[in-house]
Parts: sequence; structure tokens; C-alpha cells
Amino acid sequence: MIINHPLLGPRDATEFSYLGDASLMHRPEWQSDDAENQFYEYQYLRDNKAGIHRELWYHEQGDRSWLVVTRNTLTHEISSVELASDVARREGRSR
Amino acid sequence: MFDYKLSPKSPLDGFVLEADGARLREINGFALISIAAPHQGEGALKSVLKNTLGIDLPKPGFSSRSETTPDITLMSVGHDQWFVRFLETEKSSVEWVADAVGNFAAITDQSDSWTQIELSGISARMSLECVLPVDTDPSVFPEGAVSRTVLEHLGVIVTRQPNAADGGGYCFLLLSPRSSAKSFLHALTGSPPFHF
Amino acid sequence: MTQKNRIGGGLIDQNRSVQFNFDGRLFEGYEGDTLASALLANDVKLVGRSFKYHRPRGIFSAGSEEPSALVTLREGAYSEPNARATVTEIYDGLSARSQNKFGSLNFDLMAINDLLSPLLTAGFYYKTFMWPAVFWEKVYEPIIRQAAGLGKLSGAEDPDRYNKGFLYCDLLVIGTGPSGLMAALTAARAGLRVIVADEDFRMGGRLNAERYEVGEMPAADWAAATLAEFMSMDNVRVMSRTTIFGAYDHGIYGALERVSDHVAEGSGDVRQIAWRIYTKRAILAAGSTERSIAFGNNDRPGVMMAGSVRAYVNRWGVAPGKRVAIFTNNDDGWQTAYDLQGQGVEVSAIVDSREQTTLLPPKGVRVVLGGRIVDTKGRLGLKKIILSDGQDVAADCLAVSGGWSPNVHLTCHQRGIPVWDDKIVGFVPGATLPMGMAVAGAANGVMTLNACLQSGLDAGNSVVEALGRTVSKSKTPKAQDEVSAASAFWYVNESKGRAWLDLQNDITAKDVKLSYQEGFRSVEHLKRYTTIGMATDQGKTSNILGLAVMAEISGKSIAETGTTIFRPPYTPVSIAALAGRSRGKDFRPARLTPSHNWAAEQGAVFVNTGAWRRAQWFPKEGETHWRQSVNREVLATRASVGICDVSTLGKIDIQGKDATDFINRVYANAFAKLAIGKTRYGLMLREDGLVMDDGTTARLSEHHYLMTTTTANAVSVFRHLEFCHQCLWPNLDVQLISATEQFAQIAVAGPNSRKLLEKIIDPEYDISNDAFAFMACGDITVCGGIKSRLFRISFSGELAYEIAVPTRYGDSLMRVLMDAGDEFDVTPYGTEALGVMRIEKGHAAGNELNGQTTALNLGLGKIVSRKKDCIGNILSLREEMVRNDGLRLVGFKPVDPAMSLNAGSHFIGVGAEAKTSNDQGWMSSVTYSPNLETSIGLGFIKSGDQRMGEKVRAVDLVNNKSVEVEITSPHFFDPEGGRLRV
Repeated sequence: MIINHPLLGPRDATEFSYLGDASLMHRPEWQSDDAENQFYEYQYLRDNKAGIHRELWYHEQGDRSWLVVTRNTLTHEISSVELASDVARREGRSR
Repeated sequence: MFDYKLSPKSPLDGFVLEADGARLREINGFALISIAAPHQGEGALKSVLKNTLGIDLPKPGFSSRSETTPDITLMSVGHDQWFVRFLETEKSSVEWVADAVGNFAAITDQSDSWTQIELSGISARMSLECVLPVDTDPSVFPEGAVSRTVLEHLGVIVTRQPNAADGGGYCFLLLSPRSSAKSFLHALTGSPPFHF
Repeated sequence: MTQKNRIGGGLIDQNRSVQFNFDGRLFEGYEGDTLASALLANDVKLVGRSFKYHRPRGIFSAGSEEPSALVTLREGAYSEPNARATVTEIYDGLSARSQNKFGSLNFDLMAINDLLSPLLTAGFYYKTFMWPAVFWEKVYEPIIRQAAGLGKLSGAEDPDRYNKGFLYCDLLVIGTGPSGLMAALTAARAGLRVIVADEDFRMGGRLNAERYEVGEMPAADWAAATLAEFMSMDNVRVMSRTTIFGAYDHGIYGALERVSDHVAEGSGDVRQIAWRIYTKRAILAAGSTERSIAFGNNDRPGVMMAGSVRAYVNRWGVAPGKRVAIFTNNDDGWQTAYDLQGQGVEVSAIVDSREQTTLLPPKGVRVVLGGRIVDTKGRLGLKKIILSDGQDVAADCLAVSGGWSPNVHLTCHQRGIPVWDDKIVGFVPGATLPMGMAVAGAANGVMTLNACLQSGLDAGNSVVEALGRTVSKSKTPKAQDEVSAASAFWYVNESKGRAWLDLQNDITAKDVKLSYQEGFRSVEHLKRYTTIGMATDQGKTSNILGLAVMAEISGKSIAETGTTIFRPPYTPVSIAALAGRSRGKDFRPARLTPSHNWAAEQGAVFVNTGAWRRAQWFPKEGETHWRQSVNREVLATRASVGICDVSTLGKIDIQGKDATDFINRVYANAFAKLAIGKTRYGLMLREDGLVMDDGTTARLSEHHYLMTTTTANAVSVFRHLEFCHQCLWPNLDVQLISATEQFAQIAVAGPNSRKLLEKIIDPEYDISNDAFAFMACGDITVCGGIKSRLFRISFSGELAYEIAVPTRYGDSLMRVLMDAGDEFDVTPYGTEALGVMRIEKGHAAGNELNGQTTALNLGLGKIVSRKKDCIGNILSLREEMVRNDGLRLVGFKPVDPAMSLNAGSHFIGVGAEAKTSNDQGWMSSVTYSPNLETSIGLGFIKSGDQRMGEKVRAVDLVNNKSVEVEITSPHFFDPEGGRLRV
């Protein structure tokens, strides 16, 4: 596969390592009332989609960027690639 | 007078190999200092580099060369990270860079972390075809281009340097982790035209 | 040496004679010949025996689709079984052997299988070799392997060299027939970077095999001129002898280039290269493959594909027979008769299955319309054919044409499903193609010359336009469209004798019927039940016959029946080519420690830990068992001083204004108040609360830390830290970089370690206990100004330091320490002694940090901070993970000190039966402690911390061993830690 890196252009998937569902960026607040439950869901419950899937890839043998890749798991078509840090900031994550 | 003395050793003991139209040689004596921009500090780092070293912060995938001191190059190696490469002197390389960029970057010495190999000659591109997953066609990998990728399971940073002045063909600098330098060399020398 | 069937002409060089050897006989051919064309020229028709029934087999085709003429090439370690004679270029000295014969090729003893054929039908193995099970390996398998199968491997190591590589282009053109050449020419002239690949050594496809004209010259000349133009262009790479074997995601193609298969072995050249080709666009112009018709005894040597007969006549100047008959269901078959006649070869009959045709009968040739061949005669080669009306026709070669199937294979590699086209009577590519691929010419169902050229031009122009170049108004060169009417006729129902579908697997029409009868009716089941379409040819000439027979029995159309999915590779690819240079010790890269050369000089025994080679122990003269060396290293270190290269530990340089905050969040224990110049043990959890890794982290300055990780987890911890930074806390000011390779780090341990270091550390640095206490760290210089870092940390439990110098000085530092340590009898120690000392101290390592253990399990529950947000904190508090009666890491000593312990033993109560329900935990690490003079172990046992002194059994059922052990503190040696702090 080829991942079109937002900074570096098309790169072979062999340069990357795969983590999984991009929801792993949504780490819950540790002091919330039902923190344990939230963390449980965050850690263990994921959608396993046949189709469009947002997922995290790490450019390990490259510029060390974490990327959010939107990929169709049926066709491997990749429709969007973003820097995870940009996505995280946009989603309101900060410090 | 000190009773004991430490002597440096290069990763590949000064390896050189020539074959039809290509030459591989280990390069020593160049410092590699990583500079990383602090959070939201890239703009400031950019101006300080321009002012002190006369060098532009290169775009991702490229390197730049100092206008005032051509021996200094700056290679983009990560989304917020660059390697400054220059000839080592008596002075500590880290301190030399620290003097130039001050508090505008995190500085880490990488001079001993990488083996530096130069591959040059008219057959250099053909040689890389057999190991390097990078399109080295001059139209897409011009002088100064940098790519960080994997070569036979080993990390590698490759950059295209100026062609040899005598029409000797392309010249590439390859950096790979020092501990696996011998495996890296094996990968390179197994390619045409060396077939070592 | 006469080539009695050589009729002259063609694209071979008759001035260049080539001598080769087949089954021990010397033959002559010409440069440009394949083994098949040269054998035919020499009137050799019988070239092998079939897979199952050992029936005589000849040359069936003239290309990579060959099911039948499989031979073993070359000798000894260079030998290659199951090579297709039809694509093997001959060279001086080539030796080839027929396969699958017992005795001589003419009289094969195993031909008795043919008489037993009623017993050996499809599914025979499944039904026969069932019981008893003990016979499977010992009796049945050897029998089957002896009787069936084709060529044999030499068993010797492959002496050839192989390579891999990467190529990039705007456009890859697959196939160089009329459409491929036209497409490539169009794109190349527009300035695109083009790779043109063809499996053949002479490029041009059918242009070389037919008597067409293109651009008012012979088609082969036009092909040669076009290729010559490519050769002159910098933007075109022409790759002959290169098979594009697979289409992968996002425009990546696999290619096998046979670089030196056509030159004598031992040339020193790389034999084959497996290329990965990255493309923006690809045009599949792979042409089509002629398929057979099944009729009685249609497998005799001399029965060939009609298009192949033309190829032998036109390209190689060889007449495959003296008297040739033709059996066809389409117009194209008739061309064979015209071409043969044109070369003066007798054509005895054209048998066309169709009732009528408008084609003109060639002069003097008997034409049978609505004809059926029901049988053939001739023991080792065709002599005559028998028609359904009982008449016979003399022929030593029968050219069969069942029509042409587009080579859609690569269109299927990304789940594309071919669709049936009634007009051409074949499967054409479906609507879903691999990304960036277009199909042109016969591969796309365009079956005539002029239309193929136009198809190639159009495909080429589409790519030119899509990639933003200017489309030229050039037209195709002048050419004609030949007659091409096709019909659906697959097998002769009234055949006498077996009608063969798949010559490579000996499958008959009857086998397909049996498959249907037994319920294996879908095409995928049919394939697996009968093995039709398997092996080296992947059924290129036969698949569709099997489908047609199945369709007819089940009363469906072929379109409804469907086709099996084509998967890579298109033709066989050797494992050696895929491995490239990664063989033997170069199978994977090795990482060497800075002191590797020195250790090797000392005769160290090395161990692989991941990619690292580490010194395991340093044998001394007279030591006959590794245990002696390890005990000596441990005792010497504890008595005086030992040194060990620990550079393999992961080192991560962490800087930034928020570095403290960051580290405090990724470690489970408190890090907010670590003083500058101090080091602290850090425990890292995964988010699920289990332990990920541990190590020490040093605070070098206000905003600068150096974290160490275990050797094994260096990469994954770095990845995790980047994840935390970029995905969770993107606005923290933190910069991370690996510094593992930058420093040679050597542990100096033992009561005399300070004295030893003081000899090399520059005098301005005070490392006395007061100035540089336990867990201190700092920048120093050694040996007259070499910048170094010193950490007072200890894995051995002794007064100990780790000293880090830039890697270039690592080898030298080891030698200097040995030299300076001479007065203390300094002893180098390896990973074994390191392991012994850490078990004596009860430190957890890889065996304990196994991804299943919590901080509490490890006895580190107390250090996990509850007052901060850190990775793993919340989930580590789950009920099951904090139970009081959970597993605890404790020590174990054998009650009888002479007994040894086994890691992996499970703990069972004394007197209880060793079964799962009585299992209380397991032993994770064991060693012999030379200090305690007994074996000791670390292990996890329920409520272990509350059971000191209790006795249990350590049971190892694998080795049938049970040892009574006493539960102890894991800190076997110097439990108070006094030796650390002196």
C-alpha cells in the first residue's frame, strides 16, 4: 500500500507501523466521575468496520509522524491522510 | 599527561570500494547534531538559523546549505526535526550548534549514532535501485532532496549531494544506525556494480 | 546432427549454432531457439511423462502457458525442476532431462498407473489413503511422493545469487504485443517515464508469431523498430525476460526479471531479480491464450495448440510435423493451414466443429465442417486422428484451437471478477480494476490486429491526458483486422477414450462429472477436488474447459458458473528470488555492540537478543562448562569489580519545557520532583494497567532528561512516547529523539568499581560517595577531556556505575578499563552473569515483564502514584487487578539445596495432585547462585507476599520433574541493599 503523507507525499506502507482505530486518540479525562468505565470503553471497545475506517499509522521508518489515515478496509482505498497532531488539536486536545 | 587515552574508531574502519562507475566510501569527520523546534517555536528557530548560520530551514524532504559557510548543511529528518551536518573541529560540536541556535531548539548529538556512507558515480542510481525504496530520478529527487526510509530492514536517511565536478555522476549520502553498519554495508555492496 | 524439421525463415540466427543436451543426447539448435523449438526442429516429440498416469507427453504450446513439456534444467546444485521447455532459451552446454519416468522415457515402468486409472480418479487420495492414520506419514505419503509429482529438487544449497529492487514510473506497460507497444509508444513520445515489460526474451508478442504486416512492413520488423526507438529514449526502460507476476495495492506491481537464466551456469551474474514497481498508471496488454478442446486421447505428443504451431513455423522456422491436421471451433484456427501451406508443410485436414463458415478452404486440404475428433492413435506420438464418422486422417501433428481467452489474470489480483463475453466466447476483465490499471488489446477482448493497435493508442492517450501531458494526434500504423469469428465448443461428447482437460494434472472430462456427482459443484470446489488449474501452468489452457463441462452438467451457462479467482503469481516465482540476498546469516541485519570486536577477541560466546549480538559469557582457558565461566564472572564482580557492555539498553533523549510533566504522565510512579543530577527507577504501564516496560530516567538539567528502556522494548517505548505526545497531548512542549546509538555504555560493578573509575575519570570530578551518591548522574570527562556521562545505578546490587562515552570511543573504553582494572583483577561479564546477579537481587526482567503482569504482581504496587494522571493508572485499579490474593513475585529456594530448578514449573501444594485446578502460579526465572551455593528462582504465586517460609512443589510436567521449594523474599542477596550505598 501507499500512504500519501501530508508532508512527504506518497510513501510505501512498509515504512509505517499500524496501531488501529483512531478513537485511541480520545483518551478520557482521568478525574471524571465514571472514569473507570470510560477508560474501559476507550481501551476495549472498538468498531470493526467493513468499509471506511479512520485509523492510526506511525511513520516509524520515516519522519516519526503519527497519521490519521482514512481507509476503506474492503478496497484499501485511502481517501484522507492527516497529521494526528493536527487532528488532535482540532478535536480539542491540548496538554 | 594522562595515564589512559581513548582513541576513536569509525563504524566501518574507513571502508572504500570501487567498481564500474560507482564508489562507496565511509565518510568520517562530519558532526551530525539534531535540532528540534520547541512547541510553536519553528518560526523563531528559522530566523535564528538565518541570522547566525545563513541557512534556511528546509522543507520536509529537503536539505539546505549555508549561504555563508557552504560546508554546513541542514537536513530535514522529521516533522519538527533537522540534522545540522558540518566538519568537526576541536570545539565540541554540540556547543558549536548551541552557540548558534541558543534556546531556540532542543539539541542532541547524533554524530556517533550513524554511519555515513557516500555512494557516487555514473552507476550510483543503478546500485541504489536494488536496495532503496526511493525514486532517485533527478526529476523527483533533485540535489538536496532527503528521504528517510528503510533499506533491507534498516533505517536509512538518504540525501542527494551535488554531482562530482568532473562529470562523475550522481552522489548520494546515506546515513544508517551505527550498530548495524556492517549489515548496512553488506546490503550496499551486494548490489550492482559491486557484487561484493 | 541434422535438424530435420527446420524449414528456415523465422526470427532465429541460423549462423549461430548452439549445442545442448537432452536426456544425454547432444542436439543442435540456433540462437533464438527455445528448448521446445530446438527439440521440435530435431524431431523430438516425446519430452516427458504425465503427473499421475505417466502418459507420454509432448510439447503443447509455445509459451508460458505450457502444461506438458516440463523438464529439469542443468545439473547438480544448479538443477531446476519443472522448467517449461517452451520458455527456456537454449545456450551452449545447456543440459535438460525429462521428468517423472522410471526407466526410459520411451518405456516408463510406472505407465501401469494408466491401466489402473479407473482407481486413480479425482478425489482418489481423499478416499483411499484415509485409514489407518498411522499409515499417513510412514506408508501412504512415501508411496504417493514416489509415484506422483514431477521433477525433483537437488537438495543442495542454491549456488546462484538473486536480488531485489525498486523501480518507479509513470506508466508500466505489461506485454509488448501490438497494443502494448502502441500504448507504450504513445506514452513515451509524450514524455512520460515508461517501463515496458514482457516475459519473453524477444519482445513483440504475437507480432513475432504471425505473418501480419504493420506500417507496411512485417509485423516483427515493426516491433523491432519500435523497441529500438524505446532503447534510444531516456524516459523508457525496456525489460525483456520480465514477468509482471502480481498487481498489488495502489499501483504496485511485482516483477521477476530472469537476468541470466539464458547463459551458462556459474557466470557469476545475478540470476534473477524480484522487482517491486511503483506506478502511477499501468496498461495491461498481456494478450490472450489459446485454449484447447477436449476429445479422446487428445494428450498425445503431436497434439498442439494451433497458434503455437504457427509460432513454431513463423518465429522459429520449425515445422512441428510433416503432415498437420487442424481441429478448430473458430476462424483463427484456419490461419494455421494458410501459414503451414505457405511454408510448404502438408496440411491433411481442417476439422471445424462449426456447421458452416465463409472461409475459403486452402487448396488441396480436406475440410470437415461440423467435424468431431473422437480419438487419436500412436503410442509415443500422434499417427492419425479418428473422426466421429469413423474415418481416419493421417497426421503426425494436430493443431487444436478452442478459441482465445483474454489474459485477465492481473485484473483479478485486487478482487476484480471477470465477466463472460458471448461475442468473443471468453471472460473479459470486470468493471473493477486495480487502481490505476487500464486494459488494452486482446487482454480486454479486442481480438484483431488493427483494433489492438487502436486499443493501445487509446489507452496510451488516456494515460497521457490523465497525467497532464499533451495528447498527440498521431494515428496507428496501417494494419488489417483478420477474421476472428469464434464459437463455443469445448469437448467432444462422443469421444472414445479419455478426453483430457488439464494435461498438467491429468484431469479428464469424466473427473469433472465425478466432482459434480459428489457434490463439489462450485468452481472453487471443483478446482480443489480435481486439482484442475493447479500447478505451474495454473490452467491457462484448460480452466475454461473444466468450467464448460461443469456448466453443461449442471445445466447452467458458463457465465452463471463463473470462474475461479486468479491470484498472484501469474507464472511461478522462485522463493530464492523473493528472498534476494537475505539468506543464511544475512537473513536479517545484526546490531553489534561498541565492544563487539574486543569481546570477539576475548573469545566471548555471543547470544542474539533481538537483532543485537551480545556477549553471553567470556570463557577462560580450562573452563569446560559455561556454568564455570558464569560463576567466576559473578563471584569476581561481587568480590572486586566486573565490567559489562550495556549499550543495548534503549536511550531516549527528552527535552522541552514540559518534559517533566510528560515523563510524569508516562511513568506510573512519581517523577515530578526528581532533582537535577539524579536518576530514578521508572515503571511504565500500558493503558490497560499492565506493565509495559521499566528503566531508569536521569534528569540532566531543568528541561532535559535521558530515559532508558529495556533492550527489547526500545523501539516500542519510543513509538508509545510519540503516540502520547502527538495524539494525546499535542501542545506539550516536548522533543524526543533516540540516543541509543550515540553512547557506548559500560556497567562497572563491584566493591572496587569506584577505584577503577577514579583511575580514568579526570581529576576535577569527585565521585566519592558523598559527592556522587547512589542514583546520582552527571556529565564528566575521562582520559583527558573526553565528554562522558556517569550514572550511579546498579542492576547487580553492588556499588556500581554506568559510564557512557560517545560510541566511537566504546571499543577503546573497554580496553582502557581492562588495562586500568588489572590491579583489581577486573573481570568482563556477559548477559548470563548479569542475569544471575539480577535474580540474586530479585529484579524483574523480560521473563517477569511479560505483558501479563501488573505492578502489584511484581511487588511494585506501592510505587504506582494515585495522585496524578498517568497512562494505565485508572485501569490498573480494576478489582481483579488489585486483589489481595493475586499473584505476587517472590523468591523460591529448593528445600534440598542440591536440587536444580526449572523455569516454567508450576506451583502445586505439597501433596496436591499436579493438575490445572491446583495451579497456584509459575516460576519465571531460575539460576544457580554461586554466592548462595544453591539454585534460586523468581516466580509468581498467589498471595506470595503473605506466605514466606511456606513450602510448595515446583512441578515441570514437560520434564517430569517435581522439586519441593520454600517461598522466600525475592531479594536473595544483600536484602538491605547496603552494598549499593557504600
